[in-house]
Amino acid sequence: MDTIEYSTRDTEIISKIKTISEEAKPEDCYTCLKCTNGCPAAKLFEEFAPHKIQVAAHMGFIDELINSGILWYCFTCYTCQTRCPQKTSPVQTIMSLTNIAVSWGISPPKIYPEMIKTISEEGAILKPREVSTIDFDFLSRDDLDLPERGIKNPTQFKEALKVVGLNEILALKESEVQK
Amino acid sequence: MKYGFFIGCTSQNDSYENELSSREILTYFKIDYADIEDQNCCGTPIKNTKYELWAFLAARVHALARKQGFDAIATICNGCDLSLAELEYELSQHPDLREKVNKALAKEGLQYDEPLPVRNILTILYEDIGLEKIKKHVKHKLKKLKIAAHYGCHAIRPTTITRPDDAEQPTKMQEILEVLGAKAPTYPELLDCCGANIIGVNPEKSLTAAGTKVDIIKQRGYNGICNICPFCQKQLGNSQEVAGRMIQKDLKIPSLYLTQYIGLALGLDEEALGLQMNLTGWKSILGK
Ligand code: SF4
Ligand code: SF4
Repeated sequence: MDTIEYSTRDTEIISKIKTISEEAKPEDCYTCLKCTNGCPAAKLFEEFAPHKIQVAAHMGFIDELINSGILWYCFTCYTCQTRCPQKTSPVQTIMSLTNIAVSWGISPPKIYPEMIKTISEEGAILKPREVSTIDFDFLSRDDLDLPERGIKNPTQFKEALKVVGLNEILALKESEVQK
Repeated sequence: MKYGFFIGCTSQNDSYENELSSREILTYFKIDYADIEDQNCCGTPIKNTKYELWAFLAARVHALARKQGFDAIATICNGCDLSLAELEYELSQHPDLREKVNKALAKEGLQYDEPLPVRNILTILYEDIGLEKIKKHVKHKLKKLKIAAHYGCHAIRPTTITRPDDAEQPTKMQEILEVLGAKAPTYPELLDCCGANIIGVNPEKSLTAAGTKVDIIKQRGYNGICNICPFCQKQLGNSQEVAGRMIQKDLKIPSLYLTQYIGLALGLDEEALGLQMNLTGWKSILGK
């Protein structure tokens, strides 16, 4: 087993998590494993275990967690939070850490900047699709007489999105594409 | 009470059968509703990358609905429902976030002060319409059917926010299916997640989760699956073939929205309920 490299410890991380989620409380975890035992992501990803994420965050060893990319495997099912006897929330720790990683300029999986770009253009994570019927006809909203959708003033909407960090995320996408 | 109808990204851009069947049922039971105009994504899908962006998107929906004179927001997706329902809880913990959100909203002449009540389609069916009324209107009982309910995580958790049903022992969907004439007994995997949240990050594992649930439902002798959320319905319904490939099983079993089961029992037009878009088939539901 590798020895622990204490110089990588981020002792401020608990207070950073607190600014995003009051419920995460990794410092209150007593590693009973109730979360991991009911976690659907832990069943599918060997390296994923919410109790270990709580402990790593508590101790301040988050670099490896963030760089490994496993935080993005969480299903956000809230089972861990619901069942934690200590009323801590691994899922909120995970969500806080992914937010912190992005604020440090680390690119999330590319689906996220893609969705955000589509939101900034269409107001939604998807563009309207033509969908197949069971008989392989393709139908649009129009074919189904569904009302038209979309953002009325896209320019203004984008201005508003910029106030809450649109450009920072879109810049991340570019840096990832260049890789 | 006039509802502002919030459709959400998935239903308005590809799960049209959810939007269609929800509109049909709301209209049939004379629920007073109209679309929230100019509506945007609820924010949920991107919450784990940029918290502020999520809060703005959710607040914009509330601000629009209030400005347009609605008394409450009706949702037809569990993700949207949670996002809009938890906004105030989150903002009340973060006064600086509230300020930032309002700064962004001001760019469009909007403002968020307080939330409107947010009601999931399940709540509207169960509380506004109610079992008695639904039962009275049933024309074709869904006999000889054993349907596996799937509530979806965000309809029942987290418990820090009021959710449409109980976190560990939800019953409302099953009670509704029973007044339609079907059996809807509970099963050990009832609360298992559909896996939708990571479909864009790791589709293989995401669909393995979905396939595993569909497979066990089949093994337990159910002949239909019932959803209220378009993310869950895509995972457990239209993606069955691919999900089956992930676990090397043939998974075909009808998967419908609750509003479609209700519509069939009421004798409503099948295309009006969008059933032609349910790739798992549905005719066996009516014994055809
Ligand atoms: S359930 Fe709570 S206390 Fe137990 S290991 Fe998980 S986070 Fe820690
Ligand atoms: S929310 Fe994430 S960490 Fe918690 S139980 Fe679900 S998948 Fe596991």
